[in-house]
Amino acid sequence: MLQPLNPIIHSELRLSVMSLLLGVEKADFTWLRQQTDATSGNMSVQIEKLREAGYIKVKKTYRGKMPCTICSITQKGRDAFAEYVEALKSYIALPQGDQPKEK
Amino acid sequence: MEDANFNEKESLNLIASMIAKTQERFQSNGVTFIISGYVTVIISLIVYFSLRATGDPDYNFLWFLIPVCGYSLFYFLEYRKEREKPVHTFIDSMVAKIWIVFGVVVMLLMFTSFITSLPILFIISLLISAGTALTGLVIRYPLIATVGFIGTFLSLACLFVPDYLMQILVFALIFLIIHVIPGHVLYSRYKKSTR
Repeated sequence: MLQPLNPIIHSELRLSVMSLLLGVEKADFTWLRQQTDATSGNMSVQIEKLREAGYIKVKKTYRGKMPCTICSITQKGRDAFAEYVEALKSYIALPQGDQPKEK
Repeated sequence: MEDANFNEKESLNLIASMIAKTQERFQSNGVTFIISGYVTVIISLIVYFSLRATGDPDYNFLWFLIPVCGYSLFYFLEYRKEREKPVHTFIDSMVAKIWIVFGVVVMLLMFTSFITSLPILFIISLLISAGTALTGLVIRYPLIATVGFIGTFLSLACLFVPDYLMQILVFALIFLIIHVIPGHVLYSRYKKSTR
């Protein structure tokens, strides 16, 4: 049976950010942007959506005089990611052309 | 990257490619090893020559210069760079925690050795060598793991050399092997990789 895909994670940039943060303890905004080739504006919006959902923790700090945003994944984010991957598995065996449904 | 929805195969490929980007090896510039190695060797030689020249056991208090000088140099040369790294991996965190634990234990032993009799040079060289081997295994640098194990065996020499002054020289030699030499090797590799 097909499980619905979490719409907060099922977006290219948000999924990229979640996948990156899953593999590191914490990362800054610039690094995330460089790894995903995203624009600053788009990245800011998506990070805020993930933060509002409680999937990532965002800490705003300074490096010298430069502002710096540090992101890390939360336990809620890890659980949501695991559920998302479980849901994805239910689509793997389907014939090509079937698209995942959102929640 | 556009914020667009996409199919499940693209999702899986994206997850795989992003996770692969976080799987880069731990890269150390070796400066921490160089600092701890040289500070320990130099202070050991200062203690050795002071005790040899005067015979005054109070010169043993000079051992406390190792954490003082080591942490000060680390703070000024490396701490800020470490803090400013754009990404911190779990390996970075694990290595830092290993050395916090070993650092606390070594400091506790140093204080204890002034109250009660302990083969302190043996214990400290054994602990630091074990920490070095553990670090080498965690970061998957065979050189660091190997010198750590060599240091672990060499630390036994501190037990069997009867003369305390000679033990100090063995102690300095161990740090030369386990921290100074690999520190320089790591530094030269790091310089080549960042050219």
